[in-house]
Amino acid sequence: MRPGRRAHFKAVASIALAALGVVALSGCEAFPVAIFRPESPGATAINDLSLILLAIAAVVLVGVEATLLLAIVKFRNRPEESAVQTYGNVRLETSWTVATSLVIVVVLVLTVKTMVEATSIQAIVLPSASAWPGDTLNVRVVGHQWWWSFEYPQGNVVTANEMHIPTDRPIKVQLESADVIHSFWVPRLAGKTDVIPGQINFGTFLATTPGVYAGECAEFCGIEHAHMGFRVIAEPISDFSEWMKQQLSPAAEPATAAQRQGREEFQRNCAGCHTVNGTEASGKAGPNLTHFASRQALGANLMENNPANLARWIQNPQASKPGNLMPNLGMSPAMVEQVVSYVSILK
Amino acid sequence: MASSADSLGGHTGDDTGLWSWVTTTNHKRIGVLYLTTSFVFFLAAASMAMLMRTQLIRPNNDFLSPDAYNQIFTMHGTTMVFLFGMPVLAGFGNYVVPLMIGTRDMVFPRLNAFSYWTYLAGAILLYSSFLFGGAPNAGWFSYAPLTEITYAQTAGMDYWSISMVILGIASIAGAVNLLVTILVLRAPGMGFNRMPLFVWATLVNQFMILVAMPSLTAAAIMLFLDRHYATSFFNPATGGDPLLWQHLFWFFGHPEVYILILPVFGIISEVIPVFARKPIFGYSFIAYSSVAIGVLSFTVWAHHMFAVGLGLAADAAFAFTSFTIAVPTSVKIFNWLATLWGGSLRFRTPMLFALGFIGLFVIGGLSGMAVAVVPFDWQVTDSYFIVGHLHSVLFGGTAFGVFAGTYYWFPKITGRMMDERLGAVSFWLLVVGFLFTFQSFHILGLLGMPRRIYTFAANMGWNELNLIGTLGAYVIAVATVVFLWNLVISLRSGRVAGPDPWDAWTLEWATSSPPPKHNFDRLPEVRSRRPLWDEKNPDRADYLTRH
Repeated sequence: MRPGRRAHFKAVASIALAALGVVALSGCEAFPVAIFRPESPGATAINDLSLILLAIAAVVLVGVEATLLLAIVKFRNRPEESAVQTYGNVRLETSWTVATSLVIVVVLVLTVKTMVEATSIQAIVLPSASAWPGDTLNVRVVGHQWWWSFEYPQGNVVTANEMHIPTDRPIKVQLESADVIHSFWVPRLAGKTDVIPGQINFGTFLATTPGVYAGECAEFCGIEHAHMGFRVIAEPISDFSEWMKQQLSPAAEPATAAQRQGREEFQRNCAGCHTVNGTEASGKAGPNLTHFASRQALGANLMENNPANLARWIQNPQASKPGNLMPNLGMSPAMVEQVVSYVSILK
Repeated sequence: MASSADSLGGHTGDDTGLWSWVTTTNHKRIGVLYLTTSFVFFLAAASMAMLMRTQLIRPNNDFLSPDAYNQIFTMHGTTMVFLFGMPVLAGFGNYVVPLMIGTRDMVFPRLNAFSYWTYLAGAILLYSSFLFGGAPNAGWFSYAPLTEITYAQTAGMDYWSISMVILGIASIAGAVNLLVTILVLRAPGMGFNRMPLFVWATLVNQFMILVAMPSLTAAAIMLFLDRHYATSFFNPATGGDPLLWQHLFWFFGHPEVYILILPVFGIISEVIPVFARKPIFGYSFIAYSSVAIGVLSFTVWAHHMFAVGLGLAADAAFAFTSFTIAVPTSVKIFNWLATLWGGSLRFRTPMLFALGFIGLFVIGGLSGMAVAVVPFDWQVTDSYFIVGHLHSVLFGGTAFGVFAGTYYWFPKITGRMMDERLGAVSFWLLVVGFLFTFQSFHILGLLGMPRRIYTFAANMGWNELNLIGTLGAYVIAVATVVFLWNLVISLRSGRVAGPDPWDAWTLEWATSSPPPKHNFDRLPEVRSRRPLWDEKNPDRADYLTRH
């Protein structure tokens, strides 16, 4: 290879390595949705298959690139007469076609095996005896532009954007859409399943480790598709039961004058779209807010749920999430503060 | 023998002036029209990509509003596929195929002109949407019911639907023309087994266009009816099925991506032998694998739908067919490597791009095989892994192949050589940009980043790779400017090319650069796949060994 070309190759190689280095060093802890950090049997099955695929792909890639580079180096600028006028070799071509086909057959078998492992409740082996062995928790998931509602069969518990589940129990999500196609994706717990209006899809997974798992909408669904996240909080069965008890409890009553004023403002401005169980607020267009104050985030995992963010959101939802279906209500800052003080007690 | 074209007098012939270009029916001029128009749209779509990557250079950026971003990513994809990818390959087909088969023009010259102007009309209609309420904003594959009137209230989707129909008509007309031309106008002695592989690939491609486009045309009309005439094809609120849209679209959409790559495989199969100074290794396997790809491409469409709930049996069936089509696609790479082996390699710019094609397309091919693995796809579909895959095959594949063809045939078309040094600079910049941007995308998908999001939070772990991806895009932009500069100075003052600057072997090099209107003063005898090799090397002619 001419010296100039060798320098070119070196430049490209070092840039590529530098880039990989940046990736490796850039905060290994900050990958909350990496598919290679599974915490469920289904996601682990996919992860294991992915590593095999990566290995096969690496071997093929290195083989092809090495052959390419070797050919370039070995046969560069040779005298024209040395080029052998070969037309082909049927045996060689047949062999490499057969070899490729065999590799593909192997991958196909692994594919079908993992498909079953990743989706079947029967294939999920419970790690140890749990409080309700063998019982599946059913959660009805409805995708809306641009938030998620979660309904539990116990006492018609309805919440939004934050799904609690017990660890070590199969979870079966019933996926429906209120409007357009969305997709339910919690990478560390399971592959994604689309949420399609007019049909009901099901997904199954089991979380082995307690934690907060970020979920995302993974099908373009309109202007705020980028801000349709949710959280799956997996916790031991005792904690989950506590959470369920809290969700079943009635909405908190205001104690101070500000909170009472806030509830009045809430009924006037918010009740048309939101529900607070046991009050006149029964709107269905937006998330159920009965226990809003117990949630970690607001706006579909848009920002942390604290009074400052809540005030910012209520004052001008369009500024935080332009195009979302909660309009600017033109409330004065004082009114917003009162509503915040009411909503903040809804634990 | 005077042809009807000659007898039209002043309307055809080697005329100059704008009007002669507007009224031309000559395949070379129409080829140039296709090539330049599609390149203009490439620049438009590439500019949109720069805007998108600038918005994604850092988390929570506000360079573009979500509405602007969504229109831009939709138009980026739609433009690249329909206004650059298909027309640029139609342009090469138009210009090169009649020359390669030794004939004077396409079999239907007026239909040829019609195809080009219909394409331009469809393109202008689509872009006028920006002026009349906003461009389509539901992605290039326009999933219902997001595209129904309830959720897509601007006229953007109507512009999309109608221009799809118009562009489809242009493609179908062009396909009929190229198909019949190749079937009936080949030079004496040029049986199918002596046709250049670029002609083989183009032939199969036209069959694919004829079968695939009507599915999209039908779907687009049905969408328009749903939106304005209260039909219920795709609208679940009134009994329709959103999945019907997906089946109809992808039945077109998957063959479409092979339509975008097959002629490029043909270009690579022409360039590599010339710059390795030996014949293509395994002509028959490559020709038959093109046919296999053409047929099999219609059996895989639902691998775009593994996450919609078709059921394990259907998913497994489409995984099987998707793996099957991987075989003819991948063995071609081995054929090209074997062509290089034992050769005498010359690294002129067309060869740089052909070698780059092999090295970069294989990455996309491998990530494509990975996503045929259904459970892996359940994790990475609709993520940046797919964006990385599609750009690896469409940029590392189609675009690199188009560049190879451009540098290879520019001398034939214009009579001048392009600058080698600028070509090399552009090539290396494109390789670096490709690696930085589209391989970052593969990783981002594995890190859980969904596609089609206009921004992302700062704590997801995606910040550095998005920055690298954007910097790579800027490198690609610089490479494109270098290429444009090369075009300009080469047109003005490039070295005179002569008829056969590369010492090549197919018939287009047996005439002047550019060719006269009737193409050939003297047609070489076709006794093998390399008629000019036979003429230049009578003692080592291919026909002496039965080729």
